[in-house]
Amino acid sequence: MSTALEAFFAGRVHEGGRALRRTTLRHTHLTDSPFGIVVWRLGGERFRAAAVAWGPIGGQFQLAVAGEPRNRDLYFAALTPFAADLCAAVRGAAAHRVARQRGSRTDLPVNALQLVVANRSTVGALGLLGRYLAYLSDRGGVAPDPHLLEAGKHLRFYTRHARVPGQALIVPLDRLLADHWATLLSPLEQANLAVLDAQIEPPRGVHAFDASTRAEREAHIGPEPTEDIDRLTTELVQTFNRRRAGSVDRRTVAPLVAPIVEHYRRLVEPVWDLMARTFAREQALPAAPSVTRRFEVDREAFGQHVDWIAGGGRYRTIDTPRQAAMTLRRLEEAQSRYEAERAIEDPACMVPFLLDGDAIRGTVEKVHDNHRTVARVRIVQRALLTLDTDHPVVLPVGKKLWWTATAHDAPWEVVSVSPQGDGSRVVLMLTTAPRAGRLPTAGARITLSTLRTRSDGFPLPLAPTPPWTHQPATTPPAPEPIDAGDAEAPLPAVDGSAVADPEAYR
Amino acid sequence: MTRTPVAPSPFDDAVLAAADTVQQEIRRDLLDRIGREAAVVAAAPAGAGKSHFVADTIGMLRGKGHRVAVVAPTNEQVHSLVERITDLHPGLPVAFVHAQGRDLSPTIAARPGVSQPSARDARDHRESLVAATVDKLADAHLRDGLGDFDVLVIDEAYQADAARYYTAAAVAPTHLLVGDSGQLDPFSTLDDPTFWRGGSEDPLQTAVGVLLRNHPTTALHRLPITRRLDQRAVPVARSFYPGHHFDAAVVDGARELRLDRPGPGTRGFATVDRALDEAAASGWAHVTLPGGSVLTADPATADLILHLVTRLLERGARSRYEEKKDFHPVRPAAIAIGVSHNDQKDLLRALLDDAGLNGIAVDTANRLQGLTYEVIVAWHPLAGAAVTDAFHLDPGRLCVLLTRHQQACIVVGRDSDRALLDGVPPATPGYLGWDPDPVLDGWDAHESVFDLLEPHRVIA
Repeated sequence: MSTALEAFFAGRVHEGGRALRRTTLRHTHLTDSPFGIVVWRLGGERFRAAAVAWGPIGGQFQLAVAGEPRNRDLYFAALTPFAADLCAAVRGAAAHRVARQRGSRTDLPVNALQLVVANRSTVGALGLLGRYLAYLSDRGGVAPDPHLLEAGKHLRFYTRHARVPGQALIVPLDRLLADHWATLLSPLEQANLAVLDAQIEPPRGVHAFDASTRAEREAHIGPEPTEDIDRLTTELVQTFNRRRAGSVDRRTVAPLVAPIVEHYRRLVEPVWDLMARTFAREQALPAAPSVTRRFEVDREAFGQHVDWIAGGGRYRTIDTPRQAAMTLRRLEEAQSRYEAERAIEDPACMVPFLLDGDAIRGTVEKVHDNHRTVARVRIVQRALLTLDTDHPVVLPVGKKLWWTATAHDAPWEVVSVSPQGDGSRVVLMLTTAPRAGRLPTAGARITLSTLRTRSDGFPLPLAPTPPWTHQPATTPPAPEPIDAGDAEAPLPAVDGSAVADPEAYR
Repeated sequence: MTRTPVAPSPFDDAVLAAADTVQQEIRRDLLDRIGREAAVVAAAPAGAGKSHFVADTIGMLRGKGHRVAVVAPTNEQVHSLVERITDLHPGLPVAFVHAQGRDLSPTIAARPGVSQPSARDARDHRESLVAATVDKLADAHLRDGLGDFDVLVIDEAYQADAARYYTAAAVAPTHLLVGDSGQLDPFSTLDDPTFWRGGSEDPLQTAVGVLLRNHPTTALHRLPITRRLDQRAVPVARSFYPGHHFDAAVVDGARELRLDRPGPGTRGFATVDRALDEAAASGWAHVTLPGGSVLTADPATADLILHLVTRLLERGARSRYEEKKDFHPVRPAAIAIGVSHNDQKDLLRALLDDAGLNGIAVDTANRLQGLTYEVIVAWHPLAGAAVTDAFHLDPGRLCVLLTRHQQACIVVGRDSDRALLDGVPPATPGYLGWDPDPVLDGWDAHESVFDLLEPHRVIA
């Protein structure tokens, strides 16, 4: 992000007293019926959800509160309705398939279930919850409710997919807002959705800074409890444990847990309303054209996940070196394409590139499409483009720039830069044969930048067997069961590398 | 200017002997392992003569009839390797397999023995010595089945990441990894590339890292020498190699940078001239502009750098060193400017081109790795920054910028840069199984370098 642009925004937001839009378009696909989740953790116990609220964004939420989430029976009993609803929503969304744009397979889900959460911390909390639930072992021959394991796999999938740049399967609203709005907040402060919202829509007559200061004092978003919340929770849980006297019987526990449920309901309600309000505000903004493409990639991943789970597939807890290497490549490609699509489609997103010298904008003075030059040993036909920029530009000769209209195609190379009026005259040469569609017309206002939407070549999948350098010389110790910390001794976990059919693990 | 008289031999024989012993151990270990799935790691400080050692070792391997693939992360590095191999072993067949548009320069391509076949042709002809980038060799192996070598030699192995090494590793059972542990680690364009950090599957750990992680008993040798840097530069360089002792190959006084025309010139050039005099006398100058937070591509810093290099040439800079004992003019091609950002590079490139200095190289630290110049002007990574961060504190970046020179390095920054390190460093996340920390390691390295540069400070 351009330092100059950040300085500009900071000044303007301070002067105007409210946040400013960074973009003219919405760059994240937002569905009509997203599935909202709010999580509260128990202080000091990062791996347990003390309360989970879920439901349609803009509608009513349901609340699961175990009372004592460190007790496996109570925990599972409370989470099962959430898990069952999540599984049903995922399956429902994946039920209808359509043909892909390319190829003959008809396995692309028409839709995908979009999860919406308040912040990135909640994504992390769901990831831990998913990792815990997905690998639960039997206890004394009694298997946990299958919905818990399946929901764990779904949450694990969603939170890992959250790393894909530009994805919209799981939307942390703090990131959505921070991507679309310029505020006076530091990255740490932006993690609080209420604070962000206060700067975007401060009460009438209140400066964004004061509004967010007040919100920071008063609003609690979770999933981490503040000290005062934790103190109250501790008292309630201690009372609950004393009164249940070790009982996990539903009829005994239900009335006793009511004060804790009420405690969390009071915490969830303002967050739920805030999520609905901020979601609706962003949804109202017109979507950038490329969100459809990116959500198709999401739908494809979603469909593959659902099919894998439906076929009894399991996921490894840790990636193989091959998976990690291929994932890194995929994520980096998604990142560069997302950046390029944002800037090419949205003039406001191109501004930092213009300021940082990675893009130029101007009027086409002339296009000469029959320039001859020597490429290696042959004389080839190339096009020369003369562009008059509005402002002086600094560009080294030889720098490659892509015209935004052909960002998927060959670049132009800077041939010369000279002063021209208030700006510069830049001569560029197309690095491939000039054909229709590759050349702008004289008089047109165009932008060229370092951004492109297609990567070089098509990398092949890596060999399934890792080379000796990427395999440990000695077998690693058997993994500890995922729920080893629970009170009763669990059965040994399955070692994926030792099963008869390793292909059962992805 | 008083300098120690030049010793009869410009080299420190003890340092050369120690380095020679380690090199022989590396070759012996490598030959012992041929035919087995095993590796030898040679870690070297900046300018240890790795490329020469690699070229020499390849000649030795070819002399014994072994098929060898030699790779490095970038095309420029591989071009340089091909040049070095053919310098040392004229006529030795070398097949450079490359991607489109990455051909060797015509002069190297025309050397006897050098060819540039397609991957398929290299496979069909069972070329006995193939040079390629890590990526290209991996692609050629997957797509065209190029492989079945006896030894894989990786130069700049601390710059190659585990993901790229994954495929390249399959082309031969026995590997020699040579690299500089002080340079920049592999990087990712992702906002948060730490997902796998600490795990053995981390694709962003170095090739050496993944090898030692899975095979901790792998032979690891440290070359105790720097041939590029002289004794004046070694204390700064040591800041980047904790636990790795090395000395300069050349004795004090073996190199000298002389400015024929005296400074200071006009008043406008007074600072520039003082900086040049200091750099010529001591090998270092740290020029600082007035303190303040400025844009990354700060025009004032770029102007100062332009004046420094212009004036250096105007004052008739001449140098002598151990191989050329007579003074010779410092040509533009022997000068480079090192920066941290592409917009700094673009600004300087345009200014230099306008000034007719297109022979002077300007590039980011990433791309200067492995290269040598007589004089370096380094745009300090923290120059005019408002806050510190992992990117700008990265000790590898500073290491590259301050260890490219044979004669002198002029560091350009601002008075306020050092104050960025006042107080305690920030808390940083820890990762089990992952020791380096760019912020904390960089904090230490930057503090140490600021201390060492203080006597050479020139206030602009």
